[in-house]
Amino acid sequence: MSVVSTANEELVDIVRRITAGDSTAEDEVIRRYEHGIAAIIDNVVRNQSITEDLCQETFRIVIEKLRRGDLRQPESLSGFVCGVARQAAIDYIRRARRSKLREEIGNADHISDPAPNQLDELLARERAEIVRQVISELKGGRDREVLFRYYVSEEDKNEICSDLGITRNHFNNITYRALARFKELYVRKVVDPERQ
Amino acid sequence: MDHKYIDEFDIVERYLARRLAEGETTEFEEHFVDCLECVGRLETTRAFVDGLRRVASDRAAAALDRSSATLGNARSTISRKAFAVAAGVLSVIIVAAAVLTFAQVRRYRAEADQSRSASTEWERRYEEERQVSAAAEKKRQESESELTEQIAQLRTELERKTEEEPAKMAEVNVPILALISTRGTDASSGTLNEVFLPRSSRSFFLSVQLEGAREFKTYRMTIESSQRQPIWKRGGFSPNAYNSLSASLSSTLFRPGRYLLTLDGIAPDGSISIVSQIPFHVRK
Repeated sequence: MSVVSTANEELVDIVRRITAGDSTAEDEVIRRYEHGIAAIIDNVVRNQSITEDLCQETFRIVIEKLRRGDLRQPESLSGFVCGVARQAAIDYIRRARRSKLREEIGNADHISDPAPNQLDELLARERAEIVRQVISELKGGRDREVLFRYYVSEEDKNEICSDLGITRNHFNNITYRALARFKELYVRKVVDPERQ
Repeated sequence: MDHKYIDEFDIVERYLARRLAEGETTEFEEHFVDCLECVGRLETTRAFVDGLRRVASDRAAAALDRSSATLGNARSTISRKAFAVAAGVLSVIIVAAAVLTFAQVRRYRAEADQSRSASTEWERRYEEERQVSAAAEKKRQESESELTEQIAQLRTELERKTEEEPAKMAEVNVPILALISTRGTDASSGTLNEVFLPRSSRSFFLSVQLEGAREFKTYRMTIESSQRQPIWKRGGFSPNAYNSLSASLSSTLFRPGRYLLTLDGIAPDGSISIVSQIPFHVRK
């Protein structure tokens, strides 16, 4: 049996169980998709606290629809969840723009504050500190230049390779090593500091 | 979408930079929403990029603070060295800007030259094609006039042959209709001239004897049927030595019946006067 068909069968089973009223299946859906939809929503709103709120809203809608049996093709559960998450993020952006407009004309009833809170600011500083350490560990200025030009200036990979006289493989090695080192330090210092 | 595709086309980085097409975005999201490996990679990369941008931003802010502090110090305690450095940096910037501008101008000039030579090339091709077209038109006109000339020649030849044909075959016993024109003769007066045209005769002669002095230099003859239908008309006749006018007519023009010949005199000023009208009867 192929991996795809096994995965589809799992999804069909989850949907069937939720429709039948099985709450453990609902928890399973949340565990399965929480990181994924957080990534989708955060890519749009770029704010951690708002992402969390919208994730909850997404799951609320998804679970309600599954309970009602609204999903005609259970094997497309992943696509359905993506769609609900995307729509939640887009709806938020529209509301925020309307609110901003009303604010500008002095008519706002609620002004949402998109600025990061203290926790977000703390996490941002931690991340920056870890990145500084990663950069300081790099052997040459060329590796630093690759990272800044690719991730900060968002330049084209081929152009960077051509300018610096490096191959794509070499480029990929630089970014891979930097990310791997960052992840190692991040998990150690932020995710699981007690292990340190 | 599989991991090989994701790695080969830098899907993660392009997704975070929002540089994926809509279809690819949807496809990637539907993949990673249920793929812990890809979600982990996304989260790590995003955190790293955010951190890197923060570092870049902090460095830029620090550099700005340092340069502000340097300028502030120069005002209170003027340091020649600091000014020299600032002036040197400024000079470098100006020179770099000038070099960039010069390179830009050179590039624009090269592009303009390229456009100009492309335009010249197009003009040359247009002129070439125009000349080819003019030559073709000239040739067409020459062919047309040549053909027209040939047609005229052929027509003349045909007419000549048509005229010659009957002459080649000598006809004997050609009937002659001799008429006498007396000034003032009209259709009602005078006897009816009878002409017997054998069916084998292709032509007959018409001879009109002019009575009296020659009044006109040239004459015109018109023959009409009894229903006033014009049958034959010819001008430019001049009297011969016998003071008569003669013409050869085709028998086929005349069915049995009555006809009227009208003789007009043409004056030097072009005015026309009826000299006489002579009826005749054709029998076959």
